Amino acid sequence: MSAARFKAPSLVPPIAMLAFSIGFLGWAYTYGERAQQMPVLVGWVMATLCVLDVVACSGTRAGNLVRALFSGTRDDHGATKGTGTSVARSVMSILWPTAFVGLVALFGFLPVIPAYVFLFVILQGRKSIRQGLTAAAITTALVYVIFKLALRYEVYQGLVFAG
Amino acid sequence: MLESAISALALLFTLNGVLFLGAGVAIGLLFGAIPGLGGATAIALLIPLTYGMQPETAFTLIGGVMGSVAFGGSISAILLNTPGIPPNAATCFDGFPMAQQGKAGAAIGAAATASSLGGLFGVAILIAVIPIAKQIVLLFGPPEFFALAILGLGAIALSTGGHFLRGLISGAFGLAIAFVGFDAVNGGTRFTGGVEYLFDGIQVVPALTGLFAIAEMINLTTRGGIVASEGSADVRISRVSDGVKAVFRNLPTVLRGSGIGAFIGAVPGVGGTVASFLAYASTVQASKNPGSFGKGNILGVIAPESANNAKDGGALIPTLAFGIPGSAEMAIFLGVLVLHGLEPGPLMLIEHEGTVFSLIVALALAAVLASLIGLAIARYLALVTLIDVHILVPAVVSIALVGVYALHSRFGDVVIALIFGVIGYLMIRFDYPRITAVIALVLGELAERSYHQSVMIGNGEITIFFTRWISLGLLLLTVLIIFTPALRLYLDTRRATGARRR
Repeated sequence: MSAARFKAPSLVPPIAMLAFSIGFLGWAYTYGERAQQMPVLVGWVMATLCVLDVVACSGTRAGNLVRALFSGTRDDHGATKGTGTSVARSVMSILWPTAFVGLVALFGFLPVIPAYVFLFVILQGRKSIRQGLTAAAITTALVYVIFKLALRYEVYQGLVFAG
Repeated sequence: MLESAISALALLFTLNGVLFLGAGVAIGLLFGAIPGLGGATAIALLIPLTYGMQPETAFTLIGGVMGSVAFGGSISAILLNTPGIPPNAATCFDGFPMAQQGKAGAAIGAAATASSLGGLFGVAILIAVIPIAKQIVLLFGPPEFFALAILGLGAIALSTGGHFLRGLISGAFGLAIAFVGFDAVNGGTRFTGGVEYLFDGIQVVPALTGLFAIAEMINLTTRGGIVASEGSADVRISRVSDGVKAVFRNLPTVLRGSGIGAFIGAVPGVGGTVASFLAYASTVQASKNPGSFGKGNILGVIAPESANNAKDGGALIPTLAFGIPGSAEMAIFLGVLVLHGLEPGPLMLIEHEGTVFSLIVALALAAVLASLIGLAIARYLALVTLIDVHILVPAVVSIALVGVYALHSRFGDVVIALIFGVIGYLMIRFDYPRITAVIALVLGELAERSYHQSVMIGNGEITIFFTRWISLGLLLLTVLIIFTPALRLYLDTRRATGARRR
């Protein structure tokens, strides 16, 4: 199969990375001569590589050439495929740990863990309430026994309960 | 050296040592058997737990994990056709057909014995190389360390299976992140945006926990279902001794696989997957009956499994001697070393020989212990992979984040773990290899410090990198690595054109 027939990968990730590298480079130049040396070097290298990545994802002949040069093959072995997961599903999967951390910031780990595990199991996993309660109880007990009792670590109490 | 080895052994054969080694082995087997978790996640989760421990005890625990993950992965590869960790993929070729033929016990027995022997072989190579490595590292100055760090990054990017360009971008991203915080060379802080938490830089442990544990959990959430891709509740195991005997009847296969594993393991970035596939391919080539492979030939289990466990001994050579990790697991292990106040590199082998040996002895014993424990609980381990991800994910996320906080009691660490978890997931989704980012993050400080020291030694001239033979050699090797894919393409095109003309 020739490279030209492949569906070009999305341009969004390489453009986002290019924007990051330009931002980083601009920021690096604000430091003194010695302090900026390595960051500027890395910034330029990253920006150049990102431009090449944008070209590689453009679906043009030049893009196919760049892809072939960096993957060492003309077939689709090196083409980026991603996981194929929908954006909504990805966002949902990211929201769960984000919400968990947000709630932990307010109420601390020990009250939030059982609620998080229970809700995740029944809402995201569509399991029974019994399974949710069991998973929540086991996880909370595990955290309490390992961190609080066995290792005597401080477990974050949250802004509300920290007093 | 012998004295250090004996005191390490004495330390391990205390109740404390045996308990921590056993715990490490059990955790390693569990994380190895569950696809998507693996050794890197297990070590990342364990780092906070080791904080209050003596370094030797911590290394016993981590050595137990490292020595047992590969065998844990082989159990799900054989019984469920789902490799626990990527290097076990080669074991599926003949291990699963054996299980289908009712010879699962023999396959697991062979994997256990080959893993043990491979692990011991890798450790033997490591012990043999340490005195030589001590001499070699003394030849290394700042220019050589800078060149080695760059070479390591290039080699690791090359090994990312066709994602070389994005591997390099990830490496540059990791370096950029490593610059955040206090600049030890020039004084002052950089890239902190005035956020006080960032003055100490991005902490390695929360970042690694995010990039591996949290990112994998987000990825598993999007996938759903059970952990194993091909589940079956029927995992009967019998006739284990047939497999054990087969290994001892085929010692040349074990030695070849272990040799390949130890050698490949020592090359940064190449990793266990390449080692086990190479061992498998070389065994097929050496066989008088190559057609029997892929249909349940026990040699197809013995070769990759011996390579798989031997690689850890090899991988510890660059990690301990030069502070250059060859894999994600080793990068996280560097984090453990730093947490316990040990700086990997030339002085580590000289000043902390006893600590190094406690890790080596733990690794050797773990390889044997993992097989014994693994054989006893293989059936139940395989069933773990049938757990629904929706029960596994919240439990792992909770434990990982509590652990990250416990380390320094800073909530900022939890936020960093979350941010890197999201970044790690996006990297999985868009095919940016995480391994180069992780290794760059770990190597960033070494690279920058070595660069500035070199320029100072060279009176402000960067020509110092090209006037010293070792650094010049390493930089030339880096250039060769960067052009390897283009060179391969050129040679393939020429060969194809020649064939068409004929």
